Amino acid sequence: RDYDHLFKLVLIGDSGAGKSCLLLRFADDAFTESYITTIGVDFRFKTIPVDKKTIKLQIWDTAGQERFRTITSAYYRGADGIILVYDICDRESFAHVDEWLNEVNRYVNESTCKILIGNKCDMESERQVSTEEAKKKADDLGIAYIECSAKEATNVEQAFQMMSAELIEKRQKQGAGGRSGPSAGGGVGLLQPKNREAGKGSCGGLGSCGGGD
Amino acid sequence: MGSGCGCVSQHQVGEPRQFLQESTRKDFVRKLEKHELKDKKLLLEYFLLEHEGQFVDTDAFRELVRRRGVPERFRWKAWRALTGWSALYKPGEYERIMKKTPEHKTADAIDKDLDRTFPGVEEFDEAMKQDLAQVLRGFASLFPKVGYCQGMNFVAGFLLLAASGSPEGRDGSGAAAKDAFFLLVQMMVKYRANLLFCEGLPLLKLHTFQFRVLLQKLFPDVHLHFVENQITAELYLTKWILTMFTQTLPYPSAARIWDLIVCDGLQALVLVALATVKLLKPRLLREETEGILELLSLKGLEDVLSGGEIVKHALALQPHLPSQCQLNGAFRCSNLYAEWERSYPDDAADFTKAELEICGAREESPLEQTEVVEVDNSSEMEGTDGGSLQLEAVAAAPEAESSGAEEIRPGQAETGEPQDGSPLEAQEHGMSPGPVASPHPSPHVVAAEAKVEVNPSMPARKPAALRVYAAPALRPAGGKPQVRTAGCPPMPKRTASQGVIGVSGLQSGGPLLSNGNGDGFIWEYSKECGSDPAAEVRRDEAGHHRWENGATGRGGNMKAAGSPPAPAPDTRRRGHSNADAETRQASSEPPDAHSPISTSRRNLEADCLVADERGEGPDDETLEGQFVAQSSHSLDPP
Repeated sequence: RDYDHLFKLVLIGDSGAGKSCLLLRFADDAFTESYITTIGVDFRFKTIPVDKKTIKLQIWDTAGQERFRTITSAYYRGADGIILVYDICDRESFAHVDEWLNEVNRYVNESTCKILIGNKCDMESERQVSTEEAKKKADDLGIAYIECSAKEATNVEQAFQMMSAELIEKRQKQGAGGRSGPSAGGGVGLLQPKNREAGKGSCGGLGSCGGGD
Repeated sequence: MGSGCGCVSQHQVGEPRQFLQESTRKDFVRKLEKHELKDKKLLLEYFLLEHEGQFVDTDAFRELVRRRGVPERFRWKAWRALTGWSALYKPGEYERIMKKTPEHKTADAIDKDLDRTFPGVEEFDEAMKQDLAQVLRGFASLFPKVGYCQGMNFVAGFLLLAASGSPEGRDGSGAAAKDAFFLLVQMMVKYRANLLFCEGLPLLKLHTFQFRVLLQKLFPDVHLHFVENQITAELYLTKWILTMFTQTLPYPSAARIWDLIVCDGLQALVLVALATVKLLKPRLLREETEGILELLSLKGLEDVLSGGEIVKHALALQPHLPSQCQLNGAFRCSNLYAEWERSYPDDAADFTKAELEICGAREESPLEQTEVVEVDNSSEMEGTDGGSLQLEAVAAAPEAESSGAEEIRPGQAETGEPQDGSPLEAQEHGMSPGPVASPHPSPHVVAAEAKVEVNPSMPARKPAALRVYAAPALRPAGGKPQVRTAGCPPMPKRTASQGVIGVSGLQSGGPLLSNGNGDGFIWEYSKECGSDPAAEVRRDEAGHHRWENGATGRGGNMKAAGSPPAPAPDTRRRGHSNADAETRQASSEPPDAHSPISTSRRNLEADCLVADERGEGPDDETLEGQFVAQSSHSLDPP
């Protein structure tokens, strides 16, 4: 294989927060003002060097609209990292951060790496959520925080680097350094899904990917 | 086929106008645009099939559309005839709906997607974006339970493009937006796309399952290759289905696929998806994960993926989904439904629940369909029950207005008949005080319907289902759960002998359409076509009004400009002539549709499309009243 580690990341957050644009910037170093609505789930690979290691990231970009959770939630399971995106110019999207975490925690290990991204930081004049407030929020939640601009390519690479470094560290701590197996370890990992959707079918695409169909 | 178009006495409507003189044909061909010349023959074929500026929904016409597609010039007209959306149309109705606003969150979600809909498409300009906003907001406020789901933006946007796409389109009159709106509603309700988009995306799940099973069965190598590369169906199929291929394919290809969808219903989406994979198979097998996904985004593949090719292969795959499914848009007759139910009982239960909640009734399962008339008769008798449930609920629900539904007057609702002097009010309230769901149906209505009901020539429609649309959502607490065999509007009977009739499951017109929010509207096509002369006059105006819209929007240089573009009246459809005759009797109209007098009359009739099946109604006044406002009650799950 041509990489040292393979990690599976999932982008979540409100519709219009800029998830797809972040991914486009990260994967293709491109930006478009009018990206099309993400319907369902999108997917990209990107290989990056981190600390002399080659990391292959498998990134799932999910639709933000609540209605799609019935589909997207299958992709949370087995994720190594969750990237929660909100729009700094849209307070509502920030207000939903807790909701998103609750949602995602139903499917992933509590220790799954998570990061909060405040996107569109180029639009300072329209900012509705201060950096301090967001930072405090992230601290309270015990997750990392970074502000990005997909448009101006600010911190996008760094965000993924940050997450990758953390994931490497975690995996090395776990010892084995095994393949991409989801860090589902204990019983906490695959939480008993309250939502029956979580328990079955869809073959997530993540985790035991062999079963995808 | 008893009636003609009135222009040539011997001519059968729906048959090509072979009587047209050579000069007329030549004249038509001469006026074609340059790019159309390569399709000259097909265009001429459509031209000959046009009657008084519209097409007639016949089996042969459907077959033509399905097999060969519709030239863009005639497309919108053909879709109009095949979907029967104009039955929904009433002057002023669109404007009234557009005044409503969906809840804040929904409006926000719509706004967010305006710039993210067809961003690269030049024709989809700012004006069209505004139309899109209107159409989506209007729809969401009309059907709050479905509201807005991403994917709808592409479907609605595509319809806007299509509506303004004919050579005469884009006159800035706003007619295109109106047309697109009504077709969208028709798609959602009659074709049940509501079930694709409502909470839980139940129909998407069924289609995904069907697709996965058939993919594995038909293209095991592709299936295996996908598994190896972690390509799940959700990664591409969700987009294909929820946008009905409008986002992924360029307009001409998507439109060709829609030619199939308007004929065969949403089930065709699965076949189209399989056909797409089939066409891409050699390429797919060469690629790995990212390459596969790139291919499945269907961008830049016009050479392999023309709409015509896709449809051709989709049609070839039809035997893999029971043919009746393709014909009438029903989902349960597929053996894959049963398999789904076994494999994913929870999803299937959600599907049924959504049907009840959104469509107001469950689609019949094939097993329930054998007793056509008997069952209907019994439910007709029970109709009192089912109907009263609705209306009691209405009467007991003062919060109708606040829930986004139209106000309804309990007095009217209770009797189901127009109150003295109430028609105008009824119009104002946007309700139909008609025979819908009346707890005490007026005897003559029942009589008229009974007559139609036993008519063996129209088994594709079930009057009881048309007539009393039990909306479970409106069931009063403690009410007996009533799963009616009566389906959502388009659900026709499927009996062994109905191979042909089954087509009309999606043929123009349709019965009552619940907006499914349980609190809102019941769309009703049921108005009798005006035994009241005054009503006739107004209907005539209505017809002209619509024509003006249509004519300015498109079709202006078509042969019959100036005559009302009424949709294909049922009188012209195979298998309905008896019913039609009966109804005309019931409404004291001479059955001679060839007479000049009855020409305008037929146009009037066309306005309310299926009315001829409905027998006489007491509600001619409520020409505006296609919506029956009802109030909101929580669903009482079965």
